[in-house]
Amino acid sequence: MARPDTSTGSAAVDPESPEAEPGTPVAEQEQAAVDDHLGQIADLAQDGHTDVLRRLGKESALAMLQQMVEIRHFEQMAYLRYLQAEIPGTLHQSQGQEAVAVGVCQPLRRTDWITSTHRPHGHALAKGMRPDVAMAEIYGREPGALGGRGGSMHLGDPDLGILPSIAIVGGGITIAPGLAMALQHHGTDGVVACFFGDGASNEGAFHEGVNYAAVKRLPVVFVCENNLYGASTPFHETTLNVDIAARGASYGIPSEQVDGMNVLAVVAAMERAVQRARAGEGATLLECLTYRYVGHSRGDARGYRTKQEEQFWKDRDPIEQLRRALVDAGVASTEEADEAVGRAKVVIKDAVAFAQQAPKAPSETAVAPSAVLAAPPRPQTIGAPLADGPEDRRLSIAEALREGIREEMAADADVVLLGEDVGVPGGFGGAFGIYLGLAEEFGRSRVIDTPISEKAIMGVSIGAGIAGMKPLPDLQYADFVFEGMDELVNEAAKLRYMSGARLSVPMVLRCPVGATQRGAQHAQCPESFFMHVPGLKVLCISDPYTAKGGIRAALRDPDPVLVFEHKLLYGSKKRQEAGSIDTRAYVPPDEYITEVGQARLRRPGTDVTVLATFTQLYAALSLADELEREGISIEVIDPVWLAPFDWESLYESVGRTRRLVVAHEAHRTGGWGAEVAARVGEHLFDRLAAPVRRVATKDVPMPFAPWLESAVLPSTEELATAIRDVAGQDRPAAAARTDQTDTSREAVDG
Amino acid sequence: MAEAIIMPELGQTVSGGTITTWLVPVGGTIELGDPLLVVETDKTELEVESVAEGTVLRHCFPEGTEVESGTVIAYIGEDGEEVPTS
Repeated sequence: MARPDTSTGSAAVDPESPEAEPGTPVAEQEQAAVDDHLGQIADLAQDGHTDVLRRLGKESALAMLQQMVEIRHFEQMAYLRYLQAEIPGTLHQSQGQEAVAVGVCQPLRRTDWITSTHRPHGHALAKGMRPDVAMAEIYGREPGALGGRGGSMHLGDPDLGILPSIAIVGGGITIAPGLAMALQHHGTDGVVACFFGDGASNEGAFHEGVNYAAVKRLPVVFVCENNLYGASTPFHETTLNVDIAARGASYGIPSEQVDGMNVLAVVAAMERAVQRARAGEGATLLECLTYRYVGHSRGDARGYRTKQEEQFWKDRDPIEQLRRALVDAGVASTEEADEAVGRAKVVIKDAVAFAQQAPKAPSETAVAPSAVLAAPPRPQTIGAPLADGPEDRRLSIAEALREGIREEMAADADVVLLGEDVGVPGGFGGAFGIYLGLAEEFGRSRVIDTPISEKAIMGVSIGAGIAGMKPLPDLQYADFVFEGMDELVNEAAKLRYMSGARLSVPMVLRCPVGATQRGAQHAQCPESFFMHVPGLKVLCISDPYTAKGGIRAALRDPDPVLVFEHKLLYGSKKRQEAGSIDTRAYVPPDEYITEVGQARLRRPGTDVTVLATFTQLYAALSLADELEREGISIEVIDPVWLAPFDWESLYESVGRTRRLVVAHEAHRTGGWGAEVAARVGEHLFDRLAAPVRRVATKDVPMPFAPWLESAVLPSTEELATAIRDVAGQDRPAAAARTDQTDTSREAVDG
Repeated sequence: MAEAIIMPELGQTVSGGTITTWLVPVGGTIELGDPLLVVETDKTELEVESVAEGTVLRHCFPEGTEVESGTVIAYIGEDGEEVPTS
């Protein structure tokens, strides 16, 4: 059933297959699909692959037998202890699928990576995790692999090449190519094995991740564990072409259907795939036909399957098969096989005893700032206003960004740019020309043009960052960030925490924001969304000095940073937009970096604090002189970072002026100004002379026509009115309270 | 030491069930993972596997009793061990 490299174009799907026949009743089609599947495994099973056994030799073969029994017994014991209410949460178990885990990991080295799923126990054990450490994690205990912060669904250990498993179906498929890119970038012949289930093959992540690995010739082995069911739903009910291996042809990579109940067949297929990967020949797709004997998770009584079907697979039990093959081939004696089984049972018994007695992690470890971020927020004092300098160093934001990125790329070979239209000769140099010249200087292996696959761009960046690179992915418009939300929110932001602070995810995502007469899907300012997600840092660049120093700080930061830049502020020569604002300012030629989490004072004042970003920052600055003449002195502050937020600098300013107006182009409801208003209300209520006011985009999607767009955006007049309004109010300050401590800030938020 | 066996949580939405059959009598021996009893919930009838091996020392409830999850329903240990009686 091996399929050669299909770039030569062989037909992948048999048009004569029974389920494809038109006019056949649905029930019959379904039965035909099941029969077809059972027939396939029976066909595959005709080759016992005993040659593999002889090649591996007695020691390796017995070790595989012991490992499969350890996995089976680990799962059984975990289930029984779960029934005894010793294990919290839920369990997704893999009894019956042991041959896939052990066979896939057999040819892997410690330095190779695996990615796994919500059903990861077998994969982790097969890749070398100690059963006691794994069991303690499932128990949620301190000596567990992840200190109890990951649990059953996120089992992993970066030191063993086990990415904390990703419980979002298909989530690992976009990250695996990134891990592989880093292995390749660092000159190793390392390989990534990416486990996923049949259900995941219908996720968009499958298409984006496999295509990415294929086109970039990355050393990934995609391992589909086809166990026929996504939870309770039969695969053939959700998929007309149930032949997952056939999909290799769609991506031009070799693929193979494998008897996933025979560990020797899995080893043989995996050895071929790993050999190709190590030789630089790219990715392979393996579809391992297998079966989970147990339910999807606890409390699944498997009412959707027949006893006959379960028996069909139990008759092919992977442990029994290997045991028999060992003895029949004369590789080991019955006694030696029994001893291996006996050793496995002892190991697991000890693992359970270890987990039962292991201490629980102290609750402080749940909220430790370093658990969330590799570089937790530090106290800041506000940054000084921008300095003046010689005319030839007055740069635009576009120029300053390019200079900062260029300096970091020159200093660190692990910094790579990736995105759409970033490096093609004669192309755009990024949607706004920021990268012009960089591909020529650093080569296209560091300015990487990607498919239009935002999930893959994010996932690859996450994987590459975890494995030691500094990826700088680029979204042409911030609006496209929603295509990669799962990768950003569920993976980039959480992998450090889930890993028990064992890894970090350095990556810097550039997102151009703002309304520029392009309608509702090329106009949004989505930065507030990400302030809501622990584990992410959010930088808003509104001036050239911050552009250079901030992007360099972001690239040196060990955590994921989202950088938002406003299209009207770029000053890009290549792309002048109607309504552009001249933000040119002095940018020192030296290699400075700005502080992460530091706000910037743009203009000192005494009566009203105006906190603003992007276009609204410049609206505030443009009003300052006029208001001064009216007798209203405004202090203009750019928060620069929404996460970590410089609360101390803001409180210091508002404590003096006693009045605050927040202005942003993000939508009003749930915009970052709402969080600021709430915090200032909680913290400085007694000091405030007037309610906090917000000036923001109205809560409607952005229209196209300029005259409609301006009706939705906040206007300079609105901002002026809000400032005058709060300046005219003077609610007496209450007596200073003693309990000014804002306890909500003492946890993990800076 | 004898292990106290509790009524497991048998589903996402049920808490407990009715003991319909003890599959191993008091004094009988049982292996880890062998069926110990049958429990009926409003949804289905399930065999509950033994989480311990040894001799069944006590059934805490007769067949037909409805028992909440988490309640001790049996003791398994070495023949002749003393176990709580109430």
